Amino acid sequence: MTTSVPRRRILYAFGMAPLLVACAPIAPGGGGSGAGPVTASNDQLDPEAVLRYADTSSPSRFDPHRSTVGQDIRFFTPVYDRLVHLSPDGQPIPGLATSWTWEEDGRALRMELRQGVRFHDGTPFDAEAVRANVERGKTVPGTSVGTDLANVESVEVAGPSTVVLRLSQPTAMLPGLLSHRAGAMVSPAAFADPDLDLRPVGTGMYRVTDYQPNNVIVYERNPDYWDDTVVGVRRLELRILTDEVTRMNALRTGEVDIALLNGRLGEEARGLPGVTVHQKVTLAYAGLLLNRARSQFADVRVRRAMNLAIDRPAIVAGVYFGAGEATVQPFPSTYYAHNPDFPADHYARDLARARALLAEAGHPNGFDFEMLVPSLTAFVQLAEAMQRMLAEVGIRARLRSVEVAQAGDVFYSQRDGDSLIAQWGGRPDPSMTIGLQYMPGGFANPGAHTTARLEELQRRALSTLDRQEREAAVREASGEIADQALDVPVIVEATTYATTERVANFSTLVTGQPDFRTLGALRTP
Amino acid sequence: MTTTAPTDGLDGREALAPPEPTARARFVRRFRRQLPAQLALGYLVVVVAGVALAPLLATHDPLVQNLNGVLQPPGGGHVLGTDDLGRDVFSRALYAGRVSLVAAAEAVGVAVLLGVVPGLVAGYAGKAVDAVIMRVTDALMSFPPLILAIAFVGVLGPSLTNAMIVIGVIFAPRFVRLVRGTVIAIREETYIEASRSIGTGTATVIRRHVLPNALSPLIVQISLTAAMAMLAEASLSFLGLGVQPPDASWGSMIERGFRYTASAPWLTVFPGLLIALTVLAFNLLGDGLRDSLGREIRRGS
Repeated sequence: MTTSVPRRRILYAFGMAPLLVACAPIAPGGGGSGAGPVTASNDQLDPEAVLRYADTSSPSRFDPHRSTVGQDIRFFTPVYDRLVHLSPDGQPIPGLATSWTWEEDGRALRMELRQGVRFHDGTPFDAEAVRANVERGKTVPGTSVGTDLANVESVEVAGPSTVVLRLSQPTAMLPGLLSHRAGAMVSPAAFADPDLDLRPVGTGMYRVTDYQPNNVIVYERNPDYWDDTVVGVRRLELRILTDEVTRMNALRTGEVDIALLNGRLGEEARGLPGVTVHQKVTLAYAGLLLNRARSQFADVRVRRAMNLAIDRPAIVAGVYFGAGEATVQPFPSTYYAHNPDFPADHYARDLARARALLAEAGHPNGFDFEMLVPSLTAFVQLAEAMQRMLAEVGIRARLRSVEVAQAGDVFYSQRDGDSLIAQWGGRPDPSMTIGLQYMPGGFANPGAHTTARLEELQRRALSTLDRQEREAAVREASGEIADQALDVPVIVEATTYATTERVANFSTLVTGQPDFRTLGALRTP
Repeated sequence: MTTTAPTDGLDGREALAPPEPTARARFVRRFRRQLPAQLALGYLVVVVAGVALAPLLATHDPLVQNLNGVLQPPGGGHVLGTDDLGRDVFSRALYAGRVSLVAAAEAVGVAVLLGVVPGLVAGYAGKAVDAVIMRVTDALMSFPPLILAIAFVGVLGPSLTNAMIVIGVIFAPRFVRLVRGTVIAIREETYIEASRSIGTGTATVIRRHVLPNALSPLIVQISLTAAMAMLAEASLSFLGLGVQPPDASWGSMIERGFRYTASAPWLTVFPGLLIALTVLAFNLLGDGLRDSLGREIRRGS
């Protein structure tokens, strides 16, 4: 859920408008041919076009209820509609549910469903399908959305196109949750298909016609798609090119039209003719996640010492080439969940204090621990930089490489490794991030460690439907996370995408994830 | 007469047949004619001395990072520039050389250990024993070396020693074949027959007569295999399966620098040159040794 793909993203939820400020694409530099972000009306788009896209890694699984990496959502959205969708500015908008209302003081959510929709395999989408999907999300072995749906006690089929979700307690973030993997609707007829991970069956505007893990995902238009206002393209080929230079070269030679890059290559791409670079700060943060049941990480003094050992500004400048902002909490400064009492320099580098804390904790000579590192350059660089900084206060990290797509499985599910260098992709609602990473039952909290105060704050955030109160509780929770140093956040990253001049209406949600619904290709004159 | 060497002296003794030179003297005399091999040897001595004295020669701590000075070009305070974490490339190259050379030595050591004894046995015993050993060897040789190494390292976990042991195992058949071939030839020599006819035991024959005579092709092969092992190490490290960070080998330095080929070519050029030159040196030395050891083909005087 967390891990993996560098420079990546989160789904966005309600109330995150401020982040859009950072969204303006950056015009190409002097060497370019003056390309800018292309916006086009529907009739300027070529519905028969083929767009090629270079990304960093395959999804951990193509089953949205069992995928272990939150950022996998970007692979799912073309093929799986969710009950709730997100507008470009991040507001929940109708998806497969056309409207929803709270009932019984927030203990029930009534949803009216879109009618006449069919899954790719012909199965009709109806209230029964929603019930089956929620049921599956809660119970399927290896579920990664069980926590998201934990408060949903039952789903009542109130009519052919009406469901009522009964909740154990008011859960204000539920619409946001349902815009992510938990709300992805899989064809009930495909539940038993052992190949669901290779041949996803949803209701989305594209179907997957070919999927070769770690190589290519081919999406082709779903001709029966319910939303005829979207154009899209005939075929979207997503190439998995783990190496960033390879992606850059693929863009340079015109082998792909869209490439996910990084801060440094973004600079380089700006000089290419006809290429537009889109860069924006997202909710994704990178750092060292700790299994607080292992090594010495149960001790808050040790965790604070680790935070104090890290020189964040140096990493932001040296490793990320400034594409991001330093942070000590899981949310960026532009986000409502950010607690302003814990600015990035709350744990400014202070080796003397770090050593003193270690000595107080009984480790005057430091200690050894294992650091899992997904085998992507960006992670290896971050790992080596942190390893070196920790070594200066006597904390010795042993690096162990893990394959990118397996990192989540190894650290969260198998509870192997003391810590993981990771990028948390964020969630449509901050309470989700807190629940998953810091609550005892959270999927991304392998040590099941938390603090009493954090549990109380989380309970408050989930039970109140008043937005202001909710936001206050979330902010306080973020402060508690930083104060207790539950992990070692380093940077909130900016995503860098580059597109060629064929690509129209490219935009990323605040999450940094491309909006595939608007994405299209210009007609060739 | 003043310009002639004393051994050609004119005191008349030269008319007599010169004393048979020792094997070592003959080797030295022949090796002196191999200029490329001598240069290669000189280069290798310099490299080995350089990496052995790395702590004295390094201008910086190879692990100290300077994130405010990443990807600095050569010159300034850094002879060969800095890498993606602001570490000094020259100092890292010195320490990385240790890793690369030790890795090559490990692989060669394993290959020799595993290759020589079966080769001796197969060559000397012949018949069924020979057939069995050689079929096993053929099977091993039919694996593509790097793929097999990658598979093993995948199972055992990435570590340079694991990788080099696997490479050593893969190279062992070359030694088996070489030693066997040499031994088969030696076995038929009259001095072996003579020794056996006076009742020398098999073990003694092998130790006293066969092994010493099989040594020279072996030495040549060791030199050539060292070059191949270095390349294998570089390939595996390039794939991230060899040396683990923060340590580096020349191969892993190229791997890291590869991402910056366009903007910071010095990250790949210098370790690349070191690998290329060292491999070349091992090969030239091997050629030179081959021409200086073993039977000398004499042209009529």
